[in-house]
Amino acid sequence: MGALTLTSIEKTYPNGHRAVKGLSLDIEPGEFVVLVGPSGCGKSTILRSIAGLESLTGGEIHIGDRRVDTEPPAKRDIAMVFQNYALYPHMTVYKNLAYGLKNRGVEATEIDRKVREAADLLQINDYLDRKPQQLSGGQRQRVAMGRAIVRDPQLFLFDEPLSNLDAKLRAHMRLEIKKLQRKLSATSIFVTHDQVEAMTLADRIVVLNGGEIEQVGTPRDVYHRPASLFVASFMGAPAMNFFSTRVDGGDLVLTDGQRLTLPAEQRPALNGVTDITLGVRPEQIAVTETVRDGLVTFDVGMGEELGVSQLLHGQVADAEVVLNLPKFERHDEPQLGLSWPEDAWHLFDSRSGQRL
Amino acid sequence: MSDKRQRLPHSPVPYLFIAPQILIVLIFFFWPAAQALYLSFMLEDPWGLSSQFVGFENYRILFNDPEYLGTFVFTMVYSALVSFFSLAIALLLAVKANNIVRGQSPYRVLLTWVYAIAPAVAGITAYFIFNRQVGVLSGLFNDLGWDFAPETDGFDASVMLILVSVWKQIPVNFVFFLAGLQGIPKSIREAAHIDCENPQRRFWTITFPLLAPTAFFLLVINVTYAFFETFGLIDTLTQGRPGGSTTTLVYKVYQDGFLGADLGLSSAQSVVLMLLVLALTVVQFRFIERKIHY
Repeated sequence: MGALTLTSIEKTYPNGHRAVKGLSLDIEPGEFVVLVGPSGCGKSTILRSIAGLESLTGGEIHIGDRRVDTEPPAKRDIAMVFQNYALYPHMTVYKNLAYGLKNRGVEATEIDRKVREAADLLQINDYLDRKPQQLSGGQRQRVAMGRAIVRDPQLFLFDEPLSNLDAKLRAHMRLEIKKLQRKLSATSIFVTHDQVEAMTLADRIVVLNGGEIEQVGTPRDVYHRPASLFVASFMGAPAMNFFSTRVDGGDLVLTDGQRLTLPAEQRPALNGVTDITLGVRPEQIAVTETVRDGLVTFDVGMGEELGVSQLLHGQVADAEVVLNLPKFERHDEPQLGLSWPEDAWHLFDSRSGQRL
Repeated sequence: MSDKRQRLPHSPVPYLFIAPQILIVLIFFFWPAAQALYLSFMLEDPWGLSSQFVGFENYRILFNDPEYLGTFVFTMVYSALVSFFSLAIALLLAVKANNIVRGQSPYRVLLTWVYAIAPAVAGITAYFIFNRQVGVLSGLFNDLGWDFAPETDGFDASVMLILVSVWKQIPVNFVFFLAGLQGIPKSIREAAHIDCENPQRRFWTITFPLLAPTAFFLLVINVTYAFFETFGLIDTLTQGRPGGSTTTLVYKVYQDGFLGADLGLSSAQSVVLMLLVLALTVVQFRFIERKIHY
């Protein structure tokens, strides 16, 4: 039995909006699962339903072997870290941490021990007597995590906890959360719209779209073998390039008539589908300065230097294409030839959007 | 501390802008207060034709008057009860109204519109409701076995006055409490839901402390209301009857000054009242506000 089991959960709001459409998911003990997707994909609703802050309109939620979807939030043995921290402004840091334990009838000496232990772990001992207003964003974030940790719950829920921090602090806290999660081997669910957070934190990523799961997999899986056009376009920055093509024999024909020879091992995957969207990651495309047969012709547009690499915008067969080139090179030529290795081809059925 | 602030060249224009406000305060607050202070040391004939300085004579009479002591005690008890019940009931209603999902706005309007009734009108309405012959509530009390007689029984009259005063003040408190409740971030309420199962405990440990600034503000407003603004109610409902048992300090100032034409004594009372309210406000800010987290 997993740590958390969602069985075809559904949430339809009174206004008829179906936020979650029959979603099932199993989470193993100690696993760090990240729910990622654009706004309105239902990720927050799922998290809030697990916490008990929203009621389901269908399906079941089990934590361990306990059914919890009819229990009040306080009885589910979960802890949640909120986006804006949600610290109690009238209580000191110490009281913020102790509050949940106190309400559960834990003895004062035990509370004190746990609070100090968590404070040590998060390095917030110095401001246990301060009020949340006197703390910086990063410190508040730690207190919010401390409030979750002291309770030692079966499940940690994170609702975009890093989005209120500045970029530098966000990267730092991201790493801390990951370390902490490993150390406590706490089963955690983390909601974010930031795919970098998803990639770096997750043991498994759940990509959501329109209240349904698009793909569940390790960050590596999701990045290198996206299950659908949606996942392919959502994960990765800059986003994957897509070309609409038509199958002709062993070739893919672009809209302007250019022919690409499909690698031999990709051919069986076609399976009779004729309209194919070809996806290639920007960093996997190599540039050749001459345009010749077997290379894709690229009309050069604007360049953007990122320091570590260079983005080159342009067009292939009237479609916008971005290249992520490792070196600073000026490209004054009007056209370049593109090529990519055999493992860089991602084929999707243009009609269903599914990977072939 | 050294003076590090930037000094800007002063221009008289800002004083011009605040002049109207200062004038209003001077004419309508300071001048009457000074006049009251002056008159409280004078003895004036009822026609206002002559007056003479009598020192603290008015105050001596006042503090040796058992009736004044009764009025003083009544005012304190009355203000405490009116403030407490109007705050408590309004808070309860606001908490309940805040939890309503459907039809929240009509519900709120219904709870609020009593505010639009003028005190005097409320007093006259209440007069009929509590009337011995035709009154609905009077009948109810009688049916319950309580021989309700506000015209002759001081306790019954006080109960009636307190009921009406509380009823009249609830909407104001309700609106402020509701606004205060809605000012509490949703995520804090949700975090409390996760941390605490018991709704009562949650209310007293999270919601109430966060409402404390609102409650404190309302406490000051309500005490002032009970002291001063209930004048209209008293004047239409009991006129201080029976036997002065529902006379508040303000109403007595009016009775002795305007009906009794004893301006000196009446002024001495206003001075005492002024000092009393000042002291009460200081106490409230000193001892209660300190415990509030903003």
